[in-house]
Amino acid sequence: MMSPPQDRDPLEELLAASRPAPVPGLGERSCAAVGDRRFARRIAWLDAGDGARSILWLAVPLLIAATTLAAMSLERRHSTSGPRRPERPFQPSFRDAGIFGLELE
Amino acid sequence: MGSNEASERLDLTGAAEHEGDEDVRLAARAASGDAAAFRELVLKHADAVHRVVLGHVGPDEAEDAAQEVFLRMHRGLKGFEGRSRVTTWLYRIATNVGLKRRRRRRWSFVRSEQALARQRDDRPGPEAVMADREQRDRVARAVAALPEDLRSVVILRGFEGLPWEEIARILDVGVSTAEARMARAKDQLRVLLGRPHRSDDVRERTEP
Repeated sequence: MMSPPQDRDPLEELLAASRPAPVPGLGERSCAAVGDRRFARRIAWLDAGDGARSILWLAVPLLIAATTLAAMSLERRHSTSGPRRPERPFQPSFRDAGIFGLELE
Repeated sequence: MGSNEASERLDLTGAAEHEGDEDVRLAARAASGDAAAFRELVLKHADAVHRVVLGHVGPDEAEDAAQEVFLRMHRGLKGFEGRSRVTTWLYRIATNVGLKRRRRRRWSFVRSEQALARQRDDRPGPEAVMADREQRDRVARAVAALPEDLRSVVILRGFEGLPWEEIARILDVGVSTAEARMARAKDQLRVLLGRPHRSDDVRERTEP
């Protein structure tokens, strides 16, 4: 698979000369790993972790945005309402006063 | 690979036309449940797969990662179709597995990029072997320190010597992008390895 040497510069030659050495027995161990249920389960867990992380990547910014919006909205409501006026005592209307049987002047 | 995480499914229809080697036949037999064919395929490509994942994850995790590649390949054989070469498909899986495992380390908060770059093969050996190992270590540390998009190209071009068209297919980018990434990677490698700059690489430098 290596490209012809004339296409390579000295740095590519250095990289090609520094190819990692083969690991004896790796192929056999890989074949065994394919049939190993524990290995398959571990990989499945790692995949599930990746899925959870990608959901977190999406959920965390959304949570931050929602919290910020809620805080801003609370703050705005606080600043626009101002100090509350003292409550007026109950004063019946003329109509109500008649119902309540009070004398009108 | 981020945006480069292309499909890991192999499309077999028509593959024999442009591949014409043993791999397609082996893959077809393995897909139909022939364990001997699968074993032959694994034995044939184990070293290449190991080199690719080693470049991304370092020696501690490379074997486990290589085994994961073959597990994924075994699963993928079932839904085989075949518009790319078997080796292109395998290199793509290996690159994705290597990058995924490297990214997981960001979350472990234990092993940093620097820790990976410091990884050394400390097995003893004769002086000539040691010198050779020293050079490999130095290059491996420099490659490990590259950003992932540049690292992938260096592994596929520098270690595997693949043609640009195949690298582009594996990484799901254009040929000119792959070439430009290699040019940028070479600039960074020269700095990391303390080698003088070469002016004849400038022609490759502009990434679209």
